[in-house]
Amino acid sequence: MTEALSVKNITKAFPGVLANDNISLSVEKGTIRAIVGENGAGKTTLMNVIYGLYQPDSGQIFINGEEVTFSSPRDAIAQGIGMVHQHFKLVPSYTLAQNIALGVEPRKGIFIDEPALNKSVKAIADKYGFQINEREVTVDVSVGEQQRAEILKALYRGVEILVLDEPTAVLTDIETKELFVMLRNLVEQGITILFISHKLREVLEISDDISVMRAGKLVGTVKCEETDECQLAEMMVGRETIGGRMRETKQKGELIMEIEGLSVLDNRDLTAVKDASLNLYSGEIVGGAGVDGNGQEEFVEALLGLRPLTSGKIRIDGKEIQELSTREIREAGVAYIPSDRYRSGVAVEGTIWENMVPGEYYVKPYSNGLALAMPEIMMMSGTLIQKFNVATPGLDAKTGNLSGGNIQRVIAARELGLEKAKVVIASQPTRGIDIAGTEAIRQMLIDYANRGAAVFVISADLDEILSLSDRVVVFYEGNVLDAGYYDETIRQRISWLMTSGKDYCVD
Amino acid sequence: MIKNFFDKAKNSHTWKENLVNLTTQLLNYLIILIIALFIGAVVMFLSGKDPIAAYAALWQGAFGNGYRFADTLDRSVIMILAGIAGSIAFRTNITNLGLEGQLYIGAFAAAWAGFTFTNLPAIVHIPLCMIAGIIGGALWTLPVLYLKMRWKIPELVPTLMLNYIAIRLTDYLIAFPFRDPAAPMAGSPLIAASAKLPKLIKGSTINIGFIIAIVLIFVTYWFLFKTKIGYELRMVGLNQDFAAAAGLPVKRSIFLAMTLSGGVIGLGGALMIQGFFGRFLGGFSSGYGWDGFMIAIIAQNHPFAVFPTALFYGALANGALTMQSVTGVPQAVVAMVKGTLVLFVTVKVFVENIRKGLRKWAM
Amino acid sequence: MKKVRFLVLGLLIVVLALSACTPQAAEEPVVEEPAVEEPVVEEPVVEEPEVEEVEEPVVEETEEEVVAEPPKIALVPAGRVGKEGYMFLAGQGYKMAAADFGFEERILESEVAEEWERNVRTAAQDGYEFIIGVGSTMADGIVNVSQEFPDAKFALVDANPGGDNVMGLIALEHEGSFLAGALAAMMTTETSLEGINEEKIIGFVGGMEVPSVVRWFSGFEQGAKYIDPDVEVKISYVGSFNDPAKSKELALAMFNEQGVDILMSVAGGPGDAGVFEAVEETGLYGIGADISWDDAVPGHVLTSVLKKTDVMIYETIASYIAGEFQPGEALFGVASGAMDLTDMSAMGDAIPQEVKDKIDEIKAMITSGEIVVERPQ
Repeated sequence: MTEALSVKNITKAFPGVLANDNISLSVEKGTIRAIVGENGAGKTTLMNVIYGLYQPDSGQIFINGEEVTFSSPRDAIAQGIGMVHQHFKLVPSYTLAQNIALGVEPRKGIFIDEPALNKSVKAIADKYGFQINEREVTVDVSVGEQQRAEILKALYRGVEILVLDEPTAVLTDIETKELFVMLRNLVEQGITILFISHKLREVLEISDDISVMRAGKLVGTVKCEETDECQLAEMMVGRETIGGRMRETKQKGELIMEIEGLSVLDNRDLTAVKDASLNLYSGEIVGGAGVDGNGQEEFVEALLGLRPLTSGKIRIDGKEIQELSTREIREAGVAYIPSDRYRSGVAVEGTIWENMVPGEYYVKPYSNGLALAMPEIMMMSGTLIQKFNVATPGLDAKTGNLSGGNIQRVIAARELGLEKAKVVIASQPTRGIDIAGTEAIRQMLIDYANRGAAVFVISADLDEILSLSDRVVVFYEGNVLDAGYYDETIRQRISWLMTSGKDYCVD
Repeated sequence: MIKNFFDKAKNSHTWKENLVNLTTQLLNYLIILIIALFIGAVVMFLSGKDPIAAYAALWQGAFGNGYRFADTLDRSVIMILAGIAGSIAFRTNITNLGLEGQLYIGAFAAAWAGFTFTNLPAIVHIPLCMIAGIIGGALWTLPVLYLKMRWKIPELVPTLMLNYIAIRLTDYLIAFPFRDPAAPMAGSPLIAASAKLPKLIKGSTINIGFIIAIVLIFVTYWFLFKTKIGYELRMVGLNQDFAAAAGLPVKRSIFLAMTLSGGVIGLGGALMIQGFFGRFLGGFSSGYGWDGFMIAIIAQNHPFAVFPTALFYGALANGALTMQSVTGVPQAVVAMVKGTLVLFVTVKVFVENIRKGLRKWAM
Repeated sequence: MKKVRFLVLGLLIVVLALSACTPQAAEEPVVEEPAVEEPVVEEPVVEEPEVEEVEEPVVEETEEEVVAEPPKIALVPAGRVGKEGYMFLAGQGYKMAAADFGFEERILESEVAEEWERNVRTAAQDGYEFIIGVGSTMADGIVNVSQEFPDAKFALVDANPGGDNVMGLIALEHEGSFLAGALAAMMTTETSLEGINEEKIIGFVGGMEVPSVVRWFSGFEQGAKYIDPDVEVKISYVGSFNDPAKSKELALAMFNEQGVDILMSVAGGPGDAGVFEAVEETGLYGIGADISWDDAVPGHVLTSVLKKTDVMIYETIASYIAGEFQPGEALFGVASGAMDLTDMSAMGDAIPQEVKDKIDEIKAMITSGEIVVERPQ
C-alpha cells in the first residue's frame, strides 16, 4: 500500500483558539478516510490547511511521500488535491459543464469551444460513472446534481485526492446513497477521499479508516471494521468529567410549557422536526444538545410562532399558543435569545435603545398610545443596560459598533431584564463570545431559572449544556430525545444520542 | 423636542463625535456637488458654451429675485413630498419604484374630486381633494402589496410596471370618460375655484402647498422617530428577521409603509393639480416620482435632509429653465448634474458600507 | 445631532424664503440679459417670409431717435422652436420683428407641460411687457399669469383665452382651406392628369374632431361647393394626431374604395406623413396643411395650405409697437397673408394656368369681402 497524503505535526492557531494542535496522520492511496468530530473540533481547519486555504503555523504536508507547501488552493489543485465545500461554489446561471470547466475551458482562439467543453465534461463524467446533464443550467438541477458537478469540477482538473466537507449535510437519504456509490467508484479508480462528517452511521458505512478529532487534537485513527458507533462516540465526546459545572440541580416546579407532537418543515419543505414533545417546568433548566442542523432552529422558530407547524400543540400554563402571533406568544411569557444575534437578535444599524424596547415600546408607560414616551424608554433602557453591564458609549450609540459579547448582553437585558418571561428559550446563547461574557450570560440564565422561570438552552457546545442543565434532551434528525437528568454518566448518554439516536450502546 | 434632544445628546458622550460626523458628511456632499457641477461645466465647455455664464443664469433663475426664490420653493414642494414618500418606503426597506404611477393616480383622484364637486366651500373642498389624492396614491400600491404578501414577489418589478399602467390609464381617462372638450389640450375639466390652493404671493406660484410640505417634513420626522408605528417601520426596515423575532407586526408595517408612501406622493399629485395646473393634464409630471427616489437616496431617508435636497432639486429645475432660455445651454445638462450627484452619493454610501464591513471583519 | 442641524437649517431657509418673498414687482428685474452677441441666428435659411412686403413703416425711422428703452417682448412657445414647422415659423416671425424693431430676443422654450405656465410667468416676473405664447395648449398658463400681471400684455397664437390684457391670435384656417377646396374641386375633373377619375369626389382626413380641424374641413367643403355644388366631399377622422398607420389606412380606403382622387390631410404631423405615404403608394393626389408638404411626394401634392404664424406674430408685434394693442380675438385670414397656398411650383405645369388664375381671383374676392367664408361654431 502506498501513502497518498500525510501531514506531520500540523499546528494552526486562531486568536483565542488552537484549532489544530500538532496533528499527524497519513492516508493510503485509494481509500476513504473519514475525519469525525464535534462542531469546532478542528476538522474543517485541518482540511483547509491541506487544501491550501490556510497556511499552518508549523508542520509539514507530504503528497506521495514528497513534501509540499501551498500558498493557495491553486497550488493544492496543481498537486492533485481538490476540495468540495459544504456550500457549493457554482455560478447559478451557467450550465453544469461551464461550471465544471470554469477557468480551464477548451478554447478556440479567444473563444470558448462549447462543443469540445461539453464533450470533455461528458467524458470525465462517464469515466467515473457520474450521472449528469452537463448542459442543464445550474439553478435548475437538484442539490445532489450540483454536488456531483462540484466533485467533477475537481476531477476535471485531474485531482487524485478529494476532500469532501460534510457532503451529506445537504442531501436527502436517496441522494446520500447515490453519492456513496459514486465515491466507491472513484476509490476503485485510484482516487483517495477525505470525508468530513459527524454522522457516525454514514461514516461507518462508507469509510475505510476513521480519524477522530476533539478540541483541535487528533484522538486516534481506527479501522472501520474494527470499531462501532459506541467507541467512536466516546472518542468524539471524551469521557472526562467536566469542570465548570455552574448549576446545582434543583427540584423542578410546576409545568409551564408543554410541547406535544410538534412537526415542522424546513425551508426546503422537508421534515425538520418530527413529532417532538417536551415539557418545561418552573425553575428548571433544560439543555437541548445535538449537532447543528438536527432541527433545533426549526423547533425554536416554531415555538416562537415564526414558522408554521404541520402538527402539534404548544401550551403555556395550559393555554394553547400555537395559533398565536409572535407578539402574543411573547406576551404569554416567552423570552427568546436567538442563535444568530446579528441576523435576528438585534438590528445592528439601530441604536441601543431601539434594540432594548421591541417588547415594551407599545404599552404604557413607554407609549401613550401613539407616541413613544422617550424619557421612560431611556430610563428603562439605561437601567437595564447598567444592570447587565453592557459597555456602550450611550443609548444612542449604534448597536453594531458593540462587541459580540456586549450585543448578547443587550439581548439578555432586553429579554430577561424586566423579568416578565415565564419561559426563556436561549439558542446558542454564548456562541462566539469570550470567556468572561460566556460566564456572565450563563449566570444570567441560571439566576433567571432560580427565580422560577423555565429555561431551555439549546447549544451545540456540549460543555455549555453540561454546565447549565438540570435535564438534557438531544436533537437527533428532527427528533427530541430525552437524555434524562444530570448525573455522572450523562455525557455518555448525550454523546450516544447525538451520534446514533440511541441512549445505550450494545457492543 | 429640541431641548429634549440636546439633553440626551449631552448625556451620551457621543455628541461631539456626531458633530464631527455631520461636518464630514456635509463636506463630503459639498465635494460631490462640486465634482458634479464641474463635470457639467466640462461638458458645456466641450460643446462650446460658457459654463460660468450658464451657472450664473442658473443661479439667477433659481434665486435671482424674490419671485424666483418663491417659485423655486414652490417647485421644491413636489420634490419634498416625493422625497418623503421615497424615504418612508426606504426606511422600511421597501424599494418603491412606483412613485411616478402613484403620483399620477393621486393627481387624477384629486382633480376628479376638484371638478366633480362644485358647490363646496373651499375649507371643505381643498382638504377633500387632498384626501382623494392620498387615497388614490395609496390604492395604487395595493396590487403590489398583494403580490408581495401573497406570493412573495419582490415589489421592484410590479411597482415599476404599475407606473406605465397609471400613465396610460390616466391618459385614457382624460381622452374619453373625463375629457373636457373645451380644454386646449388633453386634459380633464378645470377644478372648481374652491378646490384651488390659495397663493402665498401674487405673481409667484407659491401657495399653501409649501406650508403643507414643510409641516409634512416635521410630521414625518415625528412619525418615523417618535411614534410607535414609526419605530415599527424602522425596525422592520433595519432588520426584518429581528423585527419578526421580537414580535413586531412585520406585515402590517410593510403594508403601512407602502400605502403611506403612495399616499404621500398622491398628496403631492393633489398639490400640483390644486396649486398649479388647475386640471389634470396627461403626462403632467416630468419624472417627479423618480426625482423623489433620488432625493430619498441623497438625503439618506431623513426628512430633515430631504428638505435641502428637494430645495436643491427645485432650484435646479427652476434655474435650468432660465439657463436654457438665456444661454442656450439645454436643460439636459442639469439632468446630468443630478445624475452625477446621485451616482456619487450612491457610490459614497456604498464605499462607506464596504469600509464599515471591513472594519467589522477586522475586529 | 444631525437631526437638529437639519432642523435649524431648514427653518432658517424657510424664514429667509418668506422674508425674501415680499412682492417687489416694482423693483427692476435683476436678471441680466447676456447682452453680448446673440446666439448666432444662422438657422438654415428657409424662404424669407413675405413679411417684408408687409408694412415696415413708421417704426423703422423712429428707431434711432427713440433712444428710450426698446420694448421688452418675449416669445414663449409650447415646446421648442426647432428647425421646421409651425413653431419654427413663429420663431422666425419673432426674430424678424426683433431685428426690425430693435428689441432684444428672449425665447423661453419648454420641455414639459409644467414649463408652459412657468415660462410665461418668468417672462412676466422679469418685466416683459408683451408676452406672446404659441400653441393653444398654453391657454391655461396665459390665463393664470395675465390675471396676476395686469400691467403686462399677452398674446396667444391659436386660441383666445380671454382677459383684458390678452389677445387671441386666431388663424382663419377655413379661409385657407377654402382655396384648397376650390382647387381640389377644379382638379378632380382634370382627367388629363394621371389617376384623376371622372367622379367628382374629393376627400379630407382629419386628426380629431376638434374645433380647429372642423374649421379646416368646413372651409375645404365650402371652397369645393363654391366651384361646383355637385362635388362630393368625403371625410374621415383618425381619432389622433399621432397615428400614421391609421391615417394611412383611412387614406387608402378613401382612395381605393370611395373614388376619392384628391385628399386633403389635417391629421397632425405624424398623421399627415401617413396620408402622404398613401398618396405615394396609389399615385393619386394630396393637399397638405399648416406647412408645405409639396415636396413630400413630388408631383402628387397639388398644394399646401400654409398657416403663416410668422406673419401673425410679426404683425401682432408691429401693431403692439404702434400702440394698437387690442384685447380679444385678432383674426388672420387670407387678406392678411397669414393663410395662403404654396406657389404650386412642385407640380410643374400639371395645374393649368386658368386654374391658378381662378384661385388668385378667389383670393382677391375673399380679401375684398366678396366671398365670405363661414366660420363654423
